[in-house]
Amino acid sequence: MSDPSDTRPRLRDSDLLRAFMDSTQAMVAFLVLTLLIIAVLLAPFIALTNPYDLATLDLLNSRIPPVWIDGGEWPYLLGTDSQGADMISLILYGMRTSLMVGVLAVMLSVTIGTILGLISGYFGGWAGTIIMRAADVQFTFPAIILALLIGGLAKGVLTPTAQAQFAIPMVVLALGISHWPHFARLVRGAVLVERNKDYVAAARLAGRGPFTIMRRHLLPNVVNPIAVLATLDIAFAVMGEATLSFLGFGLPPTEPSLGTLIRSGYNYLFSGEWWLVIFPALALMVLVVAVNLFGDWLRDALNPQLR
Amino acid sequence: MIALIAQRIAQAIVVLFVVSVLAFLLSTQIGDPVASILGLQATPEDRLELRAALGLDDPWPTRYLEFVTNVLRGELGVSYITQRPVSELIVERLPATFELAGVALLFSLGVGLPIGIYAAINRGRWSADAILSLSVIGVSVPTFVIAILLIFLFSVTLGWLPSFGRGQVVQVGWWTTGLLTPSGLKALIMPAAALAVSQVALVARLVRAEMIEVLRADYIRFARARGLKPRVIHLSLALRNTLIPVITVSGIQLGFLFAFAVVAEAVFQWPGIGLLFLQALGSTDVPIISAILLLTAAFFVAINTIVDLLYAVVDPRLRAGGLNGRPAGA
Amino acid sequence: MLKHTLMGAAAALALTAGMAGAENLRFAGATPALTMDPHATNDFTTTAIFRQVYDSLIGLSLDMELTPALATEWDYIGDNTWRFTIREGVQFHDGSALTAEDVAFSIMRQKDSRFYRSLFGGIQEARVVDATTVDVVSAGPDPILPRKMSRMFILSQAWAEANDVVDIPDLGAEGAEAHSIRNAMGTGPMRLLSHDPSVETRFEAFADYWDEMPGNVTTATYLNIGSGPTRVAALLSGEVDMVVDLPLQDIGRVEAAPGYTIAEAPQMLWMQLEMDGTRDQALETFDRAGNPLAENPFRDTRVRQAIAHTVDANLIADRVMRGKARVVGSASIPGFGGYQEDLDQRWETDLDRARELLAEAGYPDGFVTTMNCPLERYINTDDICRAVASMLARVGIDVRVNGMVWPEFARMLVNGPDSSFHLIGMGPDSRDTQDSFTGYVMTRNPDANEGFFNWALFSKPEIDELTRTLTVTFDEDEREGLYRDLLGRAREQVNAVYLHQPMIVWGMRGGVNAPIRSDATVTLQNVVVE
Repeated sequence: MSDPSDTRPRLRDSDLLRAFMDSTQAMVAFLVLTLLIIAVLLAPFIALTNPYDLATLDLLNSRIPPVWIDGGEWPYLLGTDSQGADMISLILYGMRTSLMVGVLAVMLSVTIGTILGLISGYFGGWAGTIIMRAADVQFTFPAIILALLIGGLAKGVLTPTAQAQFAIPMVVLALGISHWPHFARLVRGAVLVERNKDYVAAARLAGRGPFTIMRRHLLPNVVNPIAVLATLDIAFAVMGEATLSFLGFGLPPTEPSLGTLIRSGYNYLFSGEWWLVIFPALALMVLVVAVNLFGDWLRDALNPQLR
Repeated sequence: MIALIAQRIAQAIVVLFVVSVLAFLLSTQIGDPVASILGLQATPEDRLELRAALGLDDPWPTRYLEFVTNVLRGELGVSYITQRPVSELIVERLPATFELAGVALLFSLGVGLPIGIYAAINRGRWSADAILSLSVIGVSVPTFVIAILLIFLFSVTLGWLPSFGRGQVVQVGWWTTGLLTPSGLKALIMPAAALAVSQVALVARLVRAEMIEVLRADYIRFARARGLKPRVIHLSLALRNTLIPVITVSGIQLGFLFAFAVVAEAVFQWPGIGLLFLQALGSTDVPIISAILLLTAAFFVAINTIVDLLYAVVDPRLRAGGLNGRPAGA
Repeated sequence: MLKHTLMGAAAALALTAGMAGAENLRFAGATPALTMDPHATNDFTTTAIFRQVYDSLIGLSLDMELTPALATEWDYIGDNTWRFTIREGVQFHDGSALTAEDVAFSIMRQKDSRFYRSLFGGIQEARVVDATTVDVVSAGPDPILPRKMSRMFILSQAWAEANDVVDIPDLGAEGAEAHSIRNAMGTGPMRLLSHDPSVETRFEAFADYWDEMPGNVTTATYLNIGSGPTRVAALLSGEVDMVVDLPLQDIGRVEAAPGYTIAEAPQMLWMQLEMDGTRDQALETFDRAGNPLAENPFRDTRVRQAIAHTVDANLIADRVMRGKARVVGSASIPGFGGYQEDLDQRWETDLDRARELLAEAGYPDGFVTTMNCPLERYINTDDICRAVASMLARVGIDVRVNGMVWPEFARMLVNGPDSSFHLIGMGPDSRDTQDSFTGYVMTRNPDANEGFFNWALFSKPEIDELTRTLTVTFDEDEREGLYRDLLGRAREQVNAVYLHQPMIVWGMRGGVNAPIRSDATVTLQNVVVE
C-alpha cells in the first residue's frame, strides 16, 4: 500500500530513470565516473609500477617523458616520475586514494550530520540547541582552515610513525569534521518541516517510538537532498584533499594521491618536465567535473519544482 | 527587534568564547616550539630555561586567562621565530589579504552576475546551458591549479604580469595599498583572478538559480500579464529580489575568499594573513597561530551576525525570531 | 615611526638610485632572513644575509680559506689563550671607529648565545690587552679557534648600549621589539636600509668599508620567495636579477635562456644516512611477520656495511641530484681542515656482498624499518630518501620513508634522539674534521660537550680516545696522523653511510657576475652588475 507521505522517487516509476536517459550531461558524467572507478579498482592488475612496492621502481627509468615526445619510451605512455614510477600507474593509485578519502570523508559528514540533525530537529530542547550552536561555531570557520588545523594538531600530537600510519584517517577526519554542519542543518530543516505534519502525529499516537518514526518517515524524506549534497560534497572533499596535500598538511608523498602528485610535480612545471603535474591535475579535474556534473543533474532531477 | 539584536549579540559572544578556548587549546597542542626556536644546538638546560620563560609549563587555566587578557588588551604575543609582536605582523599583512579578497570579490560579482542573469533569462538556449557546464568546470578546478596555470601563461610565457609579491605599495596611515601604483595593480590581477574563477562559477549558478525561482513567482506572471516589457520585468523586479540572497551569500563568500586566499597567497608569495598562517603552522609559531585563529573567528562571527541582522531587517517574518526564510513579496 | 622613516628612505633611495644610474641588485632565496641580530640565530640563510652588514673577526676567502678581516694576526700564546691583533682604521656604519672593546664585547655577547654554545661555549674571557690586541682565553686548548672565529660577528658596543640590546633579545618577551632585530650596526661592506623578514631586506654600499670592493653594487635587495617555481619564474621574467636557491630541475631551463648563467660551488655539508648505534632494540624495526626485532640490527657493523654497499650514491648523485653533487667517501670533505683525499673512497655498490653480510648478521630475509626524512632544508631530500628506500628493498630491507618538516625533525632529534634510521645533512660549523668527530662521531655525552650532534648514537671507545687526543694536539704532523687514523676507522665501522655533498647553484641574468662561495653567501662587495 503506498504511503501518501512518502514522496521518494521510485526508480521503477522511471521518472528519474527517464530524466537520466534524457540528459546527455548525466549520462556522460556517469559513464566517465564508471570508467574511472573501474580503472581504479583494476589498478593492481593493470598498473606497470606499484608506488607501494618500491622494488618495482628503478631510478634509471626516472623522468622519462610521454611516449609521443622525443625521449619517451614505451610502455611508459605518459612518462615517469623522479623515482621511475609510471605516470599512469601513479594516477590510478592516486585517484584510488583520492576517491577513497573523498567518499569516506563524505560518509563521515553524512553520518554525523544526519544523526545530529535528526536529534536536533526531532527532540529539540537543550540537546538540539547545543548541536545547532556547535554547528554555528563551526560555520564561523571556513572548512579549509579547520581541516588545516586538524592536520596540524595531528602532527603535533602523534609520533612521526603514527602520523604516517594514520595519515589517511586523519585527512578523512579533518575533511569529514569540517562538513558535518551542512548535513546537520539540512536534515534538521527537513525534520522540522515534517515533524509537525499529521502523519507523524498519527504515528506517535499509534505508539511508534521516535527512532522508528525517524527511520520510517523522516529519513526517507531527507534522502533526496542528502544524496544531492553528498554527491557534490564528494567533489569538494576530493579537491579538499588535493588542497591540503598541496599545502603540505594532507597526505605524505609516500601515500600517493592526486594532491600529493600535484604537489611534487608542481616543482617541475617550468623545468620542462610538465607531465609530472599536468596529467595528475587533468585527472583531478576530470574526476571532479564528472562528479559535479552528475551531482548537478541529480539536484535538478530530484527537485520537483525545477522540472 | 531589540530582543533579536540582543539575542544575536549574546550568541556571538558565546561562539567567540568557545572558539577562543578551542583556538587556545588547539594551538597549545601543535608541536613543541622549543625545539623549533633553539634548533639542534640546544642543551637540555637551555630548553628548560626557555620553557619556563615562555610559561609553557604553567597550568592551562592560567595560560588561558593570560591569553585572553592579553588579547583584550591588544597584545597578541611575540612571534617565536621572528621575535616581532604578532599584532604588528597582522596589521602589516592584513591590507594585503583584504585587497586580494576584495578585488577577487569584485571580479567574481562583476563577471558572475551578468553571466548568471543571462543564463537565467535565456534558459533553454544552448548558450545558457553551455555557460552552466563551463561554470561546473570553474568550480571543479582547485585554486592552486588555476594559479599555477596563470603564472605559466602570463608570467613566464608572455611576461606581462609579475609572478609574485605585491609590487610597489603605498603607505596610507597604517594601511599599505597596491591600488595606487601600476606595479601594485598588475600584481593584484593574477592572484585575484585565480581566487575569483571558482567564485564566478558559484555566483553565476546562484544568480541563475535564484532568478529562475523568482521568475516563476506569481507576481512576475502578473507583471507579464499586465504587459510590462520583459527587460523591465527582468531587471527591476526580478533582479532586485534576486540580489538580496546573492548579496548576503557574497558577504559569506568574502569570508571564504579569505580562506582560499591561503592557497593563492602560498603560490604567489602574497604577503598576507594566509601566508603568515601557513608559515606559522609549518614552523610551530604558536602565538601567530592562536592570534590568527581568534581573529578569523571574530571576523566570521561578525559577518554572520551582521548578515543575520540584515535579514531580520529585510524580512519582517524573521523579526518574530522564526526560521530563516526568503523574501518573496514584491 | 622608525619603520616608516626607513621605508620612506628606502623608497627615496630607490628613486635616486634609479636616477643616478647606480647599480642595484635584486636577489631572491627560498628562506627568509629571520633577524638582523647576528648572535640571535645560527640559521644558514640569515647568516649569509647579515654577513653583508657584519664582518666576522676572521674572514673567509672565496675558497673558504681563512683571511685577515677585523683581526689581522692571530697566535696561540699558550695557557689556552689565543691573541688577536685588531685592524686599525675600521669604521662602523655610523662613522664611529672599531675598537678592541667592541671586539671583546662582541665575543662575550656571542659566546653567551644559545645558538653558539657548541662553537664558543668554551670561551672563558675576552681580554683587552691594548688598543689593538684582544686575548681570548678558553676553558681548554682549542687548536681550531681561529677557524671558528670566521663565525664570530662584531658589532658596536656603543650602539648596543644606546639601543638596549646589550643582551641578546629574549624570545617571547613582551613589549616593544628589540632594536637589533631589524636594525644593524656593523662594519661590513653593506649598510642595512630596511629589513622585513618575510618580504625583503635592503642594503646600501658602505663607502668607508675597510677592504676594497671590486664589485659595483650600490644598492641591493634580498627577497624571500619560498616557492621554487615562483622563484625561477621571477628570475626568467626579469623581476629579480639573481636566484640563490635554484632548484636543480630548472638549471637546464635557466642555462638555455639567452644570456642567463649559473654558478655552482660545493656546499660545506654532506648528506648521510645515520643508523642507531646504541639501543638494544631499534625503534620501528620489525621482521617480516610484523614482530619487533629483539635485537637492534643497526648495531651490527655487518648490517651497516651491507647498507653501505647497497645504497648507490653515484646513481643518486646522477639521477636525483642531476649531477650537481659530489659523492662523499669519508667523514670529511675538501675544504675542511684534516681532509684526506686518498681516504675519500666510497664503499663499492655490491648487492650480492650486501646480501651475504645481511645473512651473516642473521637477517637472510632482511627486515622492515622506518627511515625519518627531513623535507625542505636540504636539497631534494624527498627523492633521495625514496631512492634509498627503493634500493634497500632490493636486498630485503623494506623501508617506510617518514617525511617530516624541519621543526618536527629537529624536535624528534633534540628530544631523544627518537630515531633509529634517518637522513641528515652534516657540516660542522668550524669546517674542520676534528669537529666532525667531536661533535658527531664521539659517544654522545652532552655534559662533556662530546658527541653533541651524534644523533646516530654511534659509539666506539677507540674512536673516542683518538678524538680526545686530537683535540689537544697542536703538532701538525701528529694531527695529520690522527686524522688519517680516525677517518679510516670511521669508514670501516660505517659511522654513517655517506652519500654526497650537494652543490649550491645560483642562477643569474646576463650582466650579473656574482662569485660564488661555499657557505652560500652572496658577497655583495664582489658582485658586478652591468
